[in-house]
Amino acid sequence: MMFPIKGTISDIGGGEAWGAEKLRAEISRRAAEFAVQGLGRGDRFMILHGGTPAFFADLFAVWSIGGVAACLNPNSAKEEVVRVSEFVGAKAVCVAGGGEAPADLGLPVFDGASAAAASPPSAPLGNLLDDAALILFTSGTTGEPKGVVHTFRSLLSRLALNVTYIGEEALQRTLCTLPTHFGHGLIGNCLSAIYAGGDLSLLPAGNLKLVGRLGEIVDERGIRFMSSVPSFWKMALKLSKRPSGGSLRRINIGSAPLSADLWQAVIDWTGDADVANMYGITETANWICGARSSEFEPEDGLIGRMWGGSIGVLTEEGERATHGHGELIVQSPSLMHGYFQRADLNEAALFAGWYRTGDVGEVTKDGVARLTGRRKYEINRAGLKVHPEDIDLLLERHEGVREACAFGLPDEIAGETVGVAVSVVDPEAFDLAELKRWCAERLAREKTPQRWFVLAEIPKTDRGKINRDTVAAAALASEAS
Amino acid sequence: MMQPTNGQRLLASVLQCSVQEVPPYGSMETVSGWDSLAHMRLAAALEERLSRDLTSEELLELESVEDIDRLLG
Repeated sequence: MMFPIKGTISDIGGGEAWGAEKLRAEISRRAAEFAVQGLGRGDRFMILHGGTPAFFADLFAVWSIGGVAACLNPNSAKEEVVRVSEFVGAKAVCVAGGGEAPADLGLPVFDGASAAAASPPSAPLGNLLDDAALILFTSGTTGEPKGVVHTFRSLLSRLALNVTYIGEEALQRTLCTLPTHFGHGLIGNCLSAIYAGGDLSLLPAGNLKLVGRLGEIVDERGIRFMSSVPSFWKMALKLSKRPSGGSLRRINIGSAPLSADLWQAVIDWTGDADVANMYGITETANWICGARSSEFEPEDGLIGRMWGGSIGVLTEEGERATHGHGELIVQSPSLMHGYFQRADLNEAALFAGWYRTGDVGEVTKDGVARLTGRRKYEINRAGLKVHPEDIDLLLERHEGVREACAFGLPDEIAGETVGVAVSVVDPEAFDLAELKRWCAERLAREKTPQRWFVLAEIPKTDRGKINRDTVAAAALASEAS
Repeated sequence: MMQPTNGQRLLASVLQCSVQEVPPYGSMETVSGWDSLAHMRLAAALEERLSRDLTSEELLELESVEDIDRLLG
């Protein structure tokens, strides 16, 4: 086992808390069950639940037999689960206690509730550092999946760096407010705390009542470290009183642009905690760059210095430079192994050994980075990235839709929401409510468009291509007219 | 046919859907799209309509279309 299990994992919503002994026992029991089923090194497991101690027992059990965990959004639509299962060649599925797989996948389903009295495998196969450990999906669960594969080496590198940069003492009591299928929540928040041997408290994502109690929860549990997304703080600052116990040491905020005003408001709310604006990507196992309020004044776009590794830019001339303006490129020991079975994407993601982030920014001579632009067209809904192409492809499978084009629209709370314009085959027969229902059955809730526009035609450039910004403008204009 | 209430209308405008998709007895549990983010947008819309800030208690007790109607008077 590569992870020291020393602390307690608590689910604040469900009220369950597993100490280290219970957690270790559950990991052994589950690993034994997997082994009894003939599962072992290199086998891929889909984990379809999260936010509980049982999730971590499943994850570590999979890893302890050398398996690979593909963590999916528990809200994934049935069709997405089937597609991903086939794509990764899953050998088993882990669901919540007493739960069922959302679709008949023809695979063994483990709900952790089995009373199998099997003892741990006598000679665990274990794993090697460069074995695949984790697959996280960044897009394509409705089309061709794009799964980021991390090895034990890339994950452990990131965790060791996180402990170094956050501090072991701060990580002794951590609060996670994010979903555990999300790299930020899973790697940055949860695994970093567990790796540091600390206690981890899990707050169910999106539970307003508990967000309203954030200050009390921080005090009751003596929380020292937490990380979240800007939209979480927009809710928390509105709903919750400030903590008064003075326990908070470090707060990370990331996964979406953080304005200087919101950054300052969080600093004020916490009292004297060090609040950092973080930059990270699933492909680099979460955070790689951070700007702490103890070192920098809050500033829009400021993401600070690398947390291990190097940063540079790829200039408009296609040259690599250590500083200047251009597409940010990074080297990091926590860089992914690659995209699962997508050699085409691996090639495009690298430039002379550097990972191309797709984000535009500037790096100063002393290595301080600022973001000035963004990945083209990716929609950032409260930190969750939505790839508009996935939505286009899905909707164009509906018999009533001729063409679809999704795009991001500004939103005060979430940063962006998902909008979509469709042109339809038969305007007389078209039923938008039916299309929305059809879409909701096939798409995770977070990706479902909030705003729909029916256009006579999806506008194209003179080369016949789609420019999503132009389509968004046309859609909004159609609404106003 | 009953006229939609002010609460239905306001929530429908926040959720960017038709009033028919917001039943008069709907709640956060049953109305599609009424998640925590939408709730904060609803709060902003209510504050604008009422020309005052809502307290955190008011916001957390706001769970149904009837609650919105009650707040709107």
